[in-house]
Amino acid sequence: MKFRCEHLEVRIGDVLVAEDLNLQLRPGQFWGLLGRNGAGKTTLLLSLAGLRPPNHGRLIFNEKPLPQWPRRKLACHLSMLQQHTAYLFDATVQQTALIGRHPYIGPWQREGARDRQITADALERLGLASLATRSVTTLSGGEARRLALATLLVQDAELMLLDEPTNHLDLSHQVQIMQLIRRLITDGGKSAFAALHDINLAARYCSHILMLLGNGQWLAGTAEEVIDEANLSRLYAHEIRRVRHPDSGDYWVASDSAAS
Amino acid sequence: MLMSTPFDSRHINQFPQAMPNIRPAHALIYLIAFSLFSFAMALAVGSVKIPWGDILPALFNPEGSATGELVLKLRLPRALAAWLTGAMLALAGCLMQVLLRNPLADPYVLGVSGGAAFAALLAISLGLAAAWMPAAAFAGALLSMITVFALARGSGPWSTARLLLTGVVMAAGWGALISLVLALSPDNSLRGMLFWLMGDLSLARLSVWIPLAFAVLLAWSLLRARSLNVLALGETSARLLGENIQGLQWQIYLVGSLLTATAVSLAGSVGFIGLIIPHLMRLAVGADHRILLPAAVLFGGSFLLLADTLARTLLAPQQLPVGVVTALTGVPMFLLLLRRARFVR
Repeated sequence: MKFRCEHLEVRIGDVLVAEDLNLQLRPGQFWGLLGRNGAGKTTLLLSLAGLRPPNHGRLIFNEKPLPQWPRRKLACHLSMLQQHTAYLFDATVQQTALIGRHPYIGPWQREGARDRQITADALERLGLASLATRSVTTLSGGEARRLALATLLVQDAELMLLDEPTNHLDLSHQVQIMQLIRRLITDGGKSAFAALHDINLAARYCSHILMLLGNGQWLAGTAEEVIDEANLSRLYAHEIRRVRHPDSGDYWVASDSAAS
Repeated sequence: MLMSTPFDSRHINQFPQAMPNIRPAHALIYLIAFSLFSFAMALAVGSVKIPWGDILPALFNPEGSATGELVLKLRLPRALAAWLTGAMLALAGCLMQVLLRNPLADPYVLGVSGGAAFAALLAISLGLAAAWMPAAAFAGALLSMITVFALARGSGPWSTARLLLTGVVMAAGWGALISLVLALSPDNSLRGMLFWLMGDLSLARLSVWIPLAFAVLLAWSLLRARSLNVLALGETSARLLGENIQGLQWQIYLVGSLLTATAVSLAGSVGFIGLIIPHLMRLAVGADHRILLPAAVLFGGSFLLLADTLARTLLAPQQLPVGVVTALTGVPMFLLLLRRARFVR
């Protein structure tokens, strides 16, 4: 999997999300996308997914410009977890996760035993196996989130774009999900690009960081290079402090004072 | 410190299961049997009661006997028209609910039936022969469909919200024009108009292209049934799973509107079938459109056929508009459904 953006410019109306953005994503990388509310994280992710044409620049996936990919074929290689998933119709958890196989199955075909096995495995990994026959309209916020992640696992794409994957999850599930994503990346040769609000999760699990600083400015690099008090404080326009922990490394906390 | 009593794990997982109680394949077999039963009822019951045992001989060997003539020339065409109308409305309802991602949408919400009704009533008030009514209704439905299509498309990309608003406003406009025609029409044509507005099969004339059109539109729907499952997750989800939703959504709109146009040109605007049948079937067989669509077609057809049988026999020789029967049975059914439903919150 090779994904790169060249001189990418993304705007929402008058807001400049990113200007002249040049990035290369490689297998085994876990990118964290940090930015303030309204900085354009979701918009950037939608552009990377090919759903929202950038205002300028090119996106190249496996040496082929993104717009030239047939959507169904691209869906086998690139997936995206949306920030919100609303389940309106009364399908079961299992049926809904199985829909992740859609791009692999031709219009005349039905899901096979292998597709069902992949789905069962994904539900198991996300702790949803016991809910397989539940109606999706009865799920809690966290359960619905894990179902959306299970559907993404079922889709089994090499590049996963994730819009706040830990949204709605309790602390223990947040850590489990981040560990799961990291395992998919290190063991499965996949890569991920995740918008996150939790600096500590980003610092602990991501290999690379892209910061959207506002006005189209950005900062990218390995997590060690990019995450420090100065950059974080600039990013959030608020003083962020490092707290050292003897066993678990560094933590990042927002200070109680006014904007720096 | 306060603490709750220890948790009893026997109480977990008591949630309603969306899994249908019957296996989908079995459900379809039951529904086919139900359809056959409704046909048998429709052919047997009426001013002349035909013993059940005489129906099949009359169908296959009608020559000469009065029973054969009655079954084949009078009751069978009407039964077929009723079944097809119900099937088409139920299918169109399923399609519209996915298209608008709104479980309370029905085939009439986008104004197709309004256009048809206006044109049909205009035809009556101009004194055209009854034979012109289906053509007028179909033309009105097409006009409404194309107008909504053109206006909703605008200059920008597809938007479900804009389609819904355009359609609802168009429907309101047709409603006003219908009232105008009713107000200006002479008293002696009002009765026919009211029957048309309620839905009535006594004048339905089945031509061969109606089952043909239905077969083609049903085939398309079944072929795209898995895509409908994907679209039910939302537009962005569908695109991310590889669907070309722009094309898919216009196709659904086209197919749903054509089904509705055909149904209303056959029987007037029969209510409630397109709204309640999809919900009943979702409860019975689940939300997978590959099962849901054939189930809705079979049950919608049977339901309207039984309702029509009731409509022509209940106060015989007086015939009721079938729409009255579907509404009178549909309203309590739907209210019961709402009471126990999880889909409206």
